[in-house]
Amino acid sequence: MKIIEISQVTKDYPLGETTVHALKGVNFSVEEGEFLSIIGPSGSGKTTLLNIIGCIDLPTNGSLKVDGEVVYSTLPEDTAAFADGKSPLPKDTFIKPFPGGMIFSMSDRKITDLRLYKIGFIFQTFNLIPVLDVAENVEFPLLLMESARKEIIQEIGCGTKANCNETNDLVARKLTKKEIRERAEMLIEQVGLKEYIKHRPAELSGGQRQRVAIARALVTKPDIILADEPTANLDSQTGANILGLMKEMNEKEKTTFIFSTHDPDVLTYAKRVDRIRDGVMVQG
Amino acid sequence: MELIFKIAWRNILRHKGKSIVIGIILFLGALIMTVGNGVLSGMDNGLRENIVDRFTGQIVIVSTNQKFDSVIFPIFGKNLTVMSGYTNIRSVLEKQKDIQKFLPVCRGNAMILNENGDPGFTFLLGVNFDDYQNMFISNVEIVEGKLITNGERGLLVARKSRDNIYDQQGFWVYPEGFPVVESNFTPSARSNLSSMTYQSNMVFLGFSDNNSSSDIRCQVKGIVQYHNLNSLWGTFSIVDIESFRELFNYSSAKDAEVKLSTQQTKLINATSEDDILAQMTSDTTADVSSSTLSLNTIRTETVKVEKLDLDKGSYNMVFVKLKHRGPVYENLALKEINRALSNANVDGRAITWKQAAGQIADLATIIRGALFGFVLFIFFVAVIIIMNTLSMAAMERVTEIGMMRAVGAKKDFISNMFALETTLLSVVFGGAGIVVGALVVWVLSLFHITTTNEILQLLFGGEYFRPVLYLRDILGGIVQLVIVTLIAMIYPTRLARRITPLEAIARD
Repeated sequence: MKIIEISQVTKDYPLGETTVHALKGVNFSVEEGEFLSIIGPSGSGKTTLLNIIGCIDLPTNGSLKVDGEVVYSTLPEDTAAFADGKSPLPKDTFIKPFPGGMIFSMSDRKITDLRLYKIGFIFQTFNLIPVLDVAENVEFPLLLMESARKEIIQEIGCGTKANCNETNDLVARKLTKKEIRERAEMLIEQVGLKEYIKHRPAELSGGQRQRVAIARALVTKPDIILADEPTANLDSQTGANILGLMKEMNEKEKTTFIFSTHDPDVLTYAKRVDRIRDGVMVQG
Repeated sequence: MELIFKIAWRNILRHKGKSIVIGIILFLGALIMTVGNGVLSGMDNGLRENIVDRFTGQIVIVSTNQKFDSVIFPIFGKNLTVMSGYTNIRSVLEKQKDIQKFLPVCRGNAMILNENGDPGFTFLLGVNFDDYQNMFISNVEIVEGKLITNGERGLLVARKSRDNIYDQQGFWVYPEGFPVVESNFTPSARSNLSSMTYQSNMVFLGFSDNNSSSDIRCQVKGIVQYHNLNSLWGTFSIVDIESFRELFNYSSAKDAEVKLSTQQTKLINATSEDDILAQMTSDTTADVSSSTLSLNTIRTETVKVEKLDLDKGSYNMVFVKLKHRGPVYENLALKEINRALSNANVDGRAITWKQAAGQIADLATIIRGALFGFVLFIFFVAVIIIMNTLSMAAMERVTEIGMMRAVGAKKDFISNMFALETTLLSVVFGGAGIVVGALVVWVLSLFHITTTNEILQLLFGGEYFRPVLYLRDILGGIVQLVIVTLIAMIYPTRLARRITPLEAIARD
């Protein structure tokens, strides 16, 4: 099953009087459970592509589908039915005119939920919450989930354990504070930071912060994990440990991993390697 | 919520500098607002006590023909229009369920005559003095001599008025049958003892509405002062009501007692000269009974005079005190009284004490408005500074907020976090401001700061500064603080909500 589908995606950034074409009609799909690495030189569009896959940024043109659902599309095959009024718009989506056609998009609220429940991020920089300690940073997405649990149960219709997969089980079943803390501590231990559990980000090294960010991305057991240069700031041993952990998750839980990297060690773990150059996928 | 609270609280502690700046502004704003509210409440209380409770009541009834409403201190000291048929007005007022008590009075501006012919004027209040003291909580206090009681006739000269009379007319007034008290002399009188002239009675000249005038000589029974706000009310001397009526040619209670014979009535009602002549010719046959001059008759007439129904004479104002207080209640009562007066077709129109007090109440309103404006200005400045500081904080935290959004925090989470940070600052510092403000008000009231300045007396609502805080003031302060907090957080919160995950990444 295709968990990510990208069709004819372009991304333009205005830069003064000129326009930078970061992506130039990318077609790309990822099957559930893949361990994929995207490689390419600096400025080739790796990060832009990851941002679009992760719904952090939206395409200028083209279509993005996550887990079979259209997140954003300017393609007539996705918008026509809604534009004609033949199909009712799904909840929390909208359609609006666009030069040369229409745009169909999920609302910001729904896209945020998608990021929370289906996608985990490991950024090039660490982006931790400075006022929370290591454990609290890792718990953060789970606590966000808890605060919106009822809403999402209604949204995804996953009210009982029987019709939920394990990922959704985290959503469907109310986690106690103790369970949340235990899950966070388990991941902190796995990334080798058990003794730093009460430390704030300012008290950690770059590598340690990156490991916290990795634990945070894994804590919700998302369907997809996107990682932009995840091992760039780690020593080789820690990098290998982290990649091992990810590989284990990928194998045991069918979590899909998509990396952008220059690290040859990461490439050895990848089941598939795609290459991007000048905003175009050059190798499938 | 616990998560938001944790992040918000720690952010406050992390950004101590900004938190303290915002906190100090909130603290000062709340402090000034609380003290301001205390001063305003004290002023309201003072004005109520000094004007409403001790001089006018909440409502004043005047003649329907009365052309201006500022009847207490009219411009150029103009006299008031006489109300006709006070007994009818009284019956209407007696039936009003909202009225606690009322007092008919006369107010006029009389000319003081002296041997040199130097003109001088004084405000006179014609009252039944016992009723007056009863109505206004013994507002008049004796300085020299005695008060007039039991319907006695005479004049009570206000101390401040006596000082003015001396300055303008050159004689010193003292109560009849009492010694001159030199310790009460003004400095100018004390420096002029050798040429001082003394008077225990005064001659007034009063002008009526129909341009007639009459003069009376009044015995000075006492020198008095007002319990509160003497510098304001001290220009009013008090005279018994019948003397006032004689002075201003009002119909007096004594006039009402006069029984006319049939011939006299016919004479008054005559419509032509022939009728008058005919009546006068027939009148020559009338007997004059010798018994009219007997000692017994004189005694009987004297008793009659003492038992006069003073209300049968004329008045020009009625002061009314209501059973309850509050602007809404007073407004409704005013409408009801006016409706009843109008339905009964009597010569009475009800106005508020503020209308009656005219410029005094206006001045008080202006002072109150200025104080309120100052508090609003403080709030405006506070809103701007807090808004700027919070906006800067939002922009400095783009990475952090963008990352929160990236991992799944909704815009509501971000705005709640910002709102909670501002609310916490508001509660802690603003709350402290209100508490300290309440303490300042309490301490200020203990100092018993006094003033003789008339403007300050209006600000203080009396002769001494006695700010007071009620629960409603504190609740009002909290509401004001909430409004400031809400207004100040609108823009920064919107700014923070607009931060996207992409901005966080781009900034890195």
